Amino acid sequence: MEVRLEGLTKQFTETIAVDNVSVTFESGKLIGLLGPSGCGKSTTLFMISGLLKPTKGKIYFGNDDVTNLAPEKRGIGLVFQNYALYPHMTVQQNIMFPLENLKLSRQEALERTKEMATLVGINELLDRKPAQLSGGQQQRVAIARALVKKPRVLLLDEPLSNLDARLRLQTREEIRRIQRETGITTIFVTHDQEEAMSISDKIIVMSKGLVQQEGIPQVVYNKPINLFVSKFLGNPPINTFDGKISNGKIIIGDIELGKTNCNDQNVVIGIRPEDFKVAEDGFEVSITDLSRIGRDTTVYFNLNGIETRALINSEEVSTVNKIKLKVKREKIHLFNPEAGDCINE
Amino acid sequence: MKNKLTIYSIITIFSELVWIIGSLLTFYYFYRLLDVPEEDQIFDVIRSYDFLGFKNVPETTLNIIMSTCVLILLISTPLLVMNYKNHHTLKNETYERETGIYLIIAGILSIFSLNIFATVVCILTGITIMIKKPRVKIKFVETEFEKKDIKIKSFVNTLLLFFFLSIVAIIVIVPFYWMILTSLMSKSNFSDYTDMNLYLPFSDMYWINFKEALTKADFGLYIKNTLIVAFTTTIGTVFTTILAAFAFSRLEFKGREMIFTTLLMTMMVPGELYVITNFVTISNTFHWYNTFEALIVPFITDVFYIFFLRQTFKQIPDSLYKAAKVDGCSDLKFLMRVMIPIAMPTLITITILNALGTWNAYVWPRLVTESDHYLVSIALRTSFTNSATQMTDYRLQMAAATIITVPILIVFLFARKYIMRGVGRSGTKG
Repeated sequence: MEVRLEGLTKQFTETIAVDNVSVTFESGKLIGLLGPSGCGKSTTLFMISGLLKPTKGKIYFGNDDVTNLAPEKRGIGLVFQNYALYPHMTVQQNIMFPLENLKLSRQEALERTKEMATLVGINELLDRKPAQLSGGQQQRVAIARALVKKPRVLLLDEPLSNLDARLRLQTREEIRRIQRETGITTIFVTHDQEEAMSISDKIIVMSKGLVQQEGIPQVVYNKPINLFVSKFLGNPPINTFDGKISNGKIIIGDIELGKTNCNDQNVVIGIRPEDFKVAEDGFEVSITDLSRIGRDTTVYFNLNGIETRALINSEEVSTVNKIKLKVKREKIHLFNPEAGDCINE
Repeated sequence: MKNKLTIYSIITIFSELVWIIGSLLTFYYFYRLLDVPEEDQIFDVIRSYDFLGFKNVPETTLNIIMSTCVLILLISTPLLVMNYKNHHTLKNETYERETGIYLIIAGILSIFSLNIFATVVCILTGITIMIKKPRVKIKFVETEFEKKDIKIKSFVNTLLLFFFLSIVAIIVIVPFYWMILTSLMSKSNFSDYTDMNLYLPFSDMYWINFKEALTKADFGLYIKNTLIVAFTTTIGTVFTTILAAFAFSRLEFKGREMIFTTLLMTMMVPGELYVITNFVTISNTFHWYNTFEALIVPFITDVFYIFFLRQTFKQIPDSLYKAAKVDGCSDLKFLMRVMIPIAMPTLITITILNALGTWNAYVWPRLVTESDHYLVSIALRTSFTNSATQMTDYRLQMAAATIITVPILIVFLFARKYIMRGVGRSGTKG
């Protein structure tokens, strides 16, 4: 089921949490809604679920306008950050609870519960209470409960933030698998860019209530359209320098990085750590620190007064404290210093 | 039967059960036999009774028999409860060495209830357990000096703790003990209510006082009245409290906090202040003087309980409400299926505290009722005072007090966990 937002706006008394957002969530895809806290991503999710009423704008599920529909009539499944399992019910009762309002026969409800429990892999836990489960197991129960109604859209609010690092990796694969098996359109909210990039078919980066950029994760990563997106994606984060374009050359301090056919102006130059390459004809920097982790080595150096990180193949780093580096032209991102927009040639 | 201990435990429980039922029946038999003395008899007349072929048995002998029955009941009932609880651990062989020690103590206590059978079996079980579970010796690595030091320290600590606990326990128990002894005295034994006499031989325990108290005042009626009022006010309170607490914790409406603050402010006004205005309203406006309505209607809601339950409701995460909303759950269904089950301990506390409150109520019921609608507490105050001489027969009053205290004690024993929760929160109630 395709979900389409048209000019969606949510205004709380003082602040505008979501500002005129128009995006499309394609059918059958796993889509990550990504942004720092307070950027309006959860508000957007709750508006899609129907728990919040938008101030302006329309929400379409396929061709149906659901803007004024009550949550239970939209056919959505929602998983909360803290799972919101009913503590006094067993796992089975929790999963069956949404079916009570659907007028299903008990036999059918039980069958569906079993089916969902099998899908998320909690068959042996049906008689336990939520308090007796680990965080990851509670998460699965919450997903099973969201899916048991066979919703058209599955919404996940920060599904992994309450889990420890190892479980997080496991669970995100699990979410991916469940989404693939059911083929349900899934929208999930997260502030963790790594999480979003690793499992999403598409990511939508939001900030201050506005959609900054949307697209396939790798494309967004390689071609950020503004400074915010470039800084938000990537770990370790992108290096940024104040530089300028003069006579068709990109210059940081007295180092010339490459050529461009843009007009002369001051620019912010962004270079991802992994885009530095060791080359004989590069510029020379003196290494201030090294940290070697297996295949990759992070090299720290000072470039025009900015502490800079470069990720380099360990074999290419010698013990000498000077190194010659080069950056491919297409890996240099140029941004307008005031607006932060990407400068295209 | 898998093991010897299970059989032992069944024998003990059975013998104690027989003992308890036997003493109950014996007590009841003699209680029926006793004659209530005439009114205005100033001094005791030594009465004698004929029963089961015995002739001219003096009342003092009957007193001894009945007191013994009560003693047996007092010892055997807790032992029965304990043994019943132990039965499970003995059956599953999950007992510890301590269980054996408890059983031996229980056996020794059984001697006082004259239940030789239980004594023997209990001690036998205890010894068997102690043989099966020998003392586990823990080797300490500390030096001899440190070990001794720690031992003395913990011994002194324990001693001090028990000393203070005993003092507190005595302070708490003495009034009850005094009440019970006063209720058992004969007219000649009882000199003055300021005279504290804490010893009474079995032969001077006049159980007839209870019968006299019950015939003099119609406690059946008063207990019935109290139960009616307690039951209806509790149902009403729980109902209104749940709805109000739900509104104040979940529903968004204009002025919610203001209304709630106003309600809380009424808690700061002492109840005595509005007794008179309430009385005027009830008697002049509604003409409810001396009716159950007057006793019930003003008490079918309570701000403190609303506050108490609201706090519990507020602790239930908002996401549960949202999750239920997504699943198409109405407010009422959410309240019934999710909020109430989660808040059940608090609701039980409210029920118990409210019922106890009715049982103890005095000022208001005294004001709005006459003798046919009296509650137990008022009956206690008025029934044993001679209207002509204004003399109160304290023995009978204490006997009646004992009778109406027993249900409260039983409630407390079974529900002390919930009562303590409520009292802990409010600081004063209960």
